Amino acid sequence: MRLQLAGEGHFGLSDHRPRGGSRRGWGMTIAMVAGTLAIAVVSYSLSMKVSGERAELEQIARENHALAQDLKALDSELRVRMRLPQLQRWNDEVLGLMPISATQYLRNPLHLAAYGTDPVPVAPAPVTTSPSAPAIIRAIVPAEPQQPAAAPRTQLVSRTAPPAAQAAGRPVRTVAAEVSKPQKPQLVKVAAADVAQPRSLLDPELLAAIDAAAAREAAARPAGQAPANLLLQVNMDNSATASGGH
Amino acid sequence: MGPAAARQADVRLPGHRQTALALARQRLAIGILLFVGFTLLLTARLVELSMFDGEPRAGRGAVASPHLRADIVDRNGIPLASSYEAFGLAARPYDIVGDREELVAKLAQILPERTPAQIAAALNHKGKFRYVARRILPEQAQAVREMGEPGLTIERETERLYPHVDMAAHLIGYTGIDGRGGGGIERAFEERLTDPDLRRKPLVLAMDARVQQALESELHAQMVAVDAIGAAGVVMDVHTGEVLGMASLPAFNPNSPGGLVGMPSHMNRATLGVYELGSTVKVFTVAMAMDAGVLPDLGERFPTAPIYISRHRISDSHPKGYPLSVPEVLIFSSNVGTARMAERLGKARQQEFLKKLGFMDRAPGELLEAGRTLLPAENNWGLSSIMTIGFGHGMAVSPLHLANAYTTLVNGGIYRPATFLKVAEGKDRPGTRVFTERTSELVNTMMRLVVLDGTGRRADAVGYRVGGKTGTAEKLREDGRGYDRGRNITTFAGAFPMDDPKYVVVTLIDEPRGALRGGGSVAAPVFRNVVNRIAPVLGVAPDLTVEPDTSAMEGLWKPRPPGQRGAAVIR
Repeated sequence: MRLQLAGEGHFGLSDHRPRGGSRRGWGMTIAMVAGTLAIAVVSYSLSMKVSGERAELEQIARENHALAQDLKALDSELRVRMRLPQLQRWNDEVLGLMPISATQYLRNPLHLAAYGTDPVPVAPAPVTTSPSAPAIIRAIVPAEPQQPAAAPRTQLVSRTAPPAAQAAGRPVRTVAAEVSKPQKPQLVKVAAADVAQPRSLLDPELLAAIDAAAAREAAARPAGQAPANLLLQVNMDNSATASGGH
Repeated sequence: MGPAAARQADVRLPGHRQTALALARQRLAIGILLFVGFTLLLTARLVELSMFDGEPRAGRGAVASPHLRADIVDRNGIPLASSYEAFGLAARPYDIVGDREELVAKLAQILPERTPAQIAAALNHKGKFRYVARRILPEQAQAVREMGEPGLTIERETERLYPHVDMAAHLIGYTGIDGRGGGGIERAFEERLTDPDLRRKPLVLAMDARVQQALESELHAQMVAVDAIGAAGVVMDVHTGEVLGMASLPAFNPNSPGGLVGMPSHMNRATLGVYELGSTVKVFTVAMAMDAGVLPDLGERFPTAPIYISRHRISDSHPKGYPLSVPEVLIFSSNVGTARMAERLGKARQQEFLKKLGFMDRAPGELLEAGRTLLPAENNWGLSSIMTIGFGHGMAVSPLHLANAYTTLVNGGIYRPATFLKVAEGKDRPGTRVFTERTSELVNTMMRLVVLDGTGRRADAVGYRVGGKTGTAEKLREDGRGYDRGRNITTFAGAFPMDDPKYVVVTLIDEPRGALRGGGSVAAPVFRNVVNRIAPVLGVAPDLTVEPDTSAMEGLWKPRPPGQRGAAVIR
């Protein structure tokens, strides 16, 4: 109450400026308002732009995140499909690959050269294209070759052969596979026919020679007999191990 | 305004105006300060928001992130466990608008793995929320979404995936429904796997998936062939103590471990199961006796006549009828010979060696499922205990214990506790010396002879210079009265290549049935097959021209004719 009454007098900040000079004041005010407006507009547009950029960035980051999750999911699926127990099952049921036996290792050029003294004279020639790597040759045999059900398996194995053979530097595998199982003339014939058709790198004469050599070898030696000279007849021993394993 | 108040207002004291003015100014100043302060605060916050704001939100998904738990990979980076976002189908019974019967029928078509009864139970559940099925496929989730039923929601949740299914299930372990590790590495490294700083980095195990797979498949094949109840196997690097493979069969699927944790398939036979491993322990007795100096001459002959001691009769299972030299004691696996050696060694030294080899402690390694070994009580460790422990009875250890002790024996005599984590290449793990190098060399040679001319001939992987020892032990009878001749534990423990041992393999087949139940005919072939498969993977090339030097044993044993040595006779 008292305050209110006391407020009758001069209260607050007093304007001591004379009222007369108002034109300059007006100008000032307009300029200030315009400046403020201008700054506000510029700042606001800047702020808009920044937030726009940021939103875009966030969007990209979110997309990245989603993509990473998709990748992970797909990767997981692939991993599950190629899980080791599954590969093992395929091998047990279809492929029948076996671990390399000691006699199938070629340790040095001498071993390699020993391949050349075999009844198949041209076999080691392609191997010389990669002399640095130790050549490890696997015997690809069907799991149970004696059974009549072996026919489709044979095809499955030989189907993989042509692309491998088409690659210029790697005819080793097919040749070795043929050489390593001379006791199964049927299998050899299928593989040879398949291999010979799409490819012109190895001439048919050579293949015929290999076939003939294999047949000769099979006729000469009864199954399962261990060769006398390991070093000289490594490939023959391969076949013995491959068939003897079952 | 009453008259009294008006009267009062009329009264004006001198200086009153000045006082009021000062007060008003003071209040005004305070008001302005407050206003300016508040504005400054807002400005500061604006500046902070616009300039120093944290990362954009993208990184942290609103739903469960697959990076909540670190992946587990093998030593070559092959994933063994990883997290991913799975779909789960949940029912909110109060929100269901459609006909429930119809809904159940439709869902049963989409989710063939759930029975209609299970689905109906979830839909008619008296609560706000219940899962109908977890871990459904994306196509199934899409099909449910297309049904457009508001009471059915698709939940995203982090799930743990074990791509290799039951491979190494016991070693890797599993996670429960709450996402916490329930066994194996998942349990032992719970903190490491969930540490926010480390969970983007996978945990690298010492295990090699290829070795593990070879070990498991060979053990499984033999387990089926001999109709055994279980099998276990361990592959270890002898110089670092890394466990490259550890199998326990039967296994389970860690992707859906179920709540049956107490089942036999959930027990890790390699670390938690302790067995009387029998003759595989004999090599330690020979090594201990040689190291302690009580076996100065390897040509010394040990009689094979049975020993009678306090109700026990110790005799040989392959009696030879003539005294055996030290190598022959191992080659023919003579119980009597090793019992005599243990007798000479005495209690104190035997205990000391067993302690150093880790047989007195829980199974080595980081897993929490570490079995405690069974040994005679201190006051019951008499001469008969000393003798029976000498040939591996009266003491039960886990296969991992055995493998670790074999690494100690073959690597030159240094014990390094097993580890399941990869040891950085070139990094040397500290170890304690147990045997001298000379002892280690001699025993390695004897183990090679066991495989060439003794009980372990079926273990001979051609070209890999394998050495080892067979073991056959009888299980205790269910009623606790002595041993059961019909139930055996067969083991083979060995290393390769014996001229420079690199890896130790232990195979164990639990209760084989059939005519041949010895370690030499059941566990040894598994060992051979495993070595044939893992040696090329581990970079050990076979060599038919190299043989460990057996000149130290010259004349102490009678080699078989060349055509009958090692694997030559049994293939």
